[in-house]
Amino acid sequence: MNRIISAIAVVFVSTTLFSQQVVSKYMDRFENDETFTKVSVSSKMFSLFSELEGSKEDEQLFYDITSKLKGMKVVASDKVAKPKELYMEAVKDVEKSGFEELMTVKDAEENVKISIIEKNGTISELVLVVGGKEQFALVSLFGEINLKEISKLASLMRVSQLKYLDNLEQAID
Amino acid sequence: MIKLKYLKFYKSRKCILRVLPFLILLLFTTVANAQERIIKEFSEPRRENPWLNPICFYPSTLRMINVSGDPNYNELVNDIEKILIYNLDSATVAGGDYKSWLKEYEEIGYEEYIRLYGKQTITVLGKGKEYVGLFLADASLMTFYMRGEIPFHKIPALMQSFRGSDMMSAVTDRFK
Repeated sequence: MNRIISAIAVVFVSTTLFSQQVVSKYMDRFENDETFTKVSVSSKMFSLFSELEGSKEDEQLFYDITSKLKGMKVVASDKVAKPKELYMEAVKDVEKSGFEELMTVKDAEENVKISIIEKNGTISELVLVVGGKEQFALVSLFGEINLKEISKLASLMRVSQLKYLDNLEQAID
Repeated sequence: MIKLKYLKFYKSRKCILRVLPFLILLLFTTVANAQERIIKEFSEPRRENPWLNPICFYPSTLRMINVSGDPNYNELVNDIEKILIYNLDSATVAGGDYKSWLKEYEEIGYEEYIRLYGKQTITVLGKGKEYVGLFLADASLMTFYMRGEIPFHKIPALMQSFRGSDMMSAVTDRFK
């Protein structure tokens, strides 16, 4: 019995660590590259990026969403030498880390892939990979994620890379 | 006889009630100073202008710099007990070891609240009502310690109103 519990614990811990390592890997890789912005925010500081225009409903919604999140990590650049290669590499890394693809948006300008880690109906991490003509972004939101709520986060925060979460709302509907 | 009298006094409830607030105050001061010690030990010898004291704000001075009387600003700083700001020299920036002191805070239980790096570097660690961190932009490095409560969601709007106001120049003029 103890062995089974230990095995489950090891699998759970390794999956959690492994998934968060995807974004951390890119943060470390571009640590000294000033063309890349790297951001790591704990849930306590989400409000620093909020864009609430006095509406109490928005404030409540923002609180409801962010109180369940543990943090956010972003690696982004508008001047990438080989954005397509970097996008493909990041997508592969995300897949290898046990993420399940949720949706892909492709147009002439950009490729966007949203993937999640879900266990027993609970989403613990959402990763967004964006590749444009010169742009690249890798965003991770972790904690307890509700897809319907998270799609509204883009309008409540001043983090441009989150705008792609709008697509989720259309997909859910 | 006298000794016995004093002994009774020391054992009395009255004595405990008199001494307890001082002990609590002493303990609080010691703990607060211990939290500030790390940033002071790192920043003091690296100040850009050694002849200028670091900027230190208390509730009264925080309200004083609100030249335009912005009520939002007063609301923001209402529960701040102290802010200590150091502007560090270029040698520290060039040396690249300006983050080392933050590890000491992590060792005593401070959590990373935000870390941003690229063209600018911003790091904020926090524990309870205390915050420490650094801002690095255009080779200008600033470290800070803050004690108190702050409504973080009000900062973006306030920063917007700060730009070009008399308040910010009153602060930045200190560095010139």
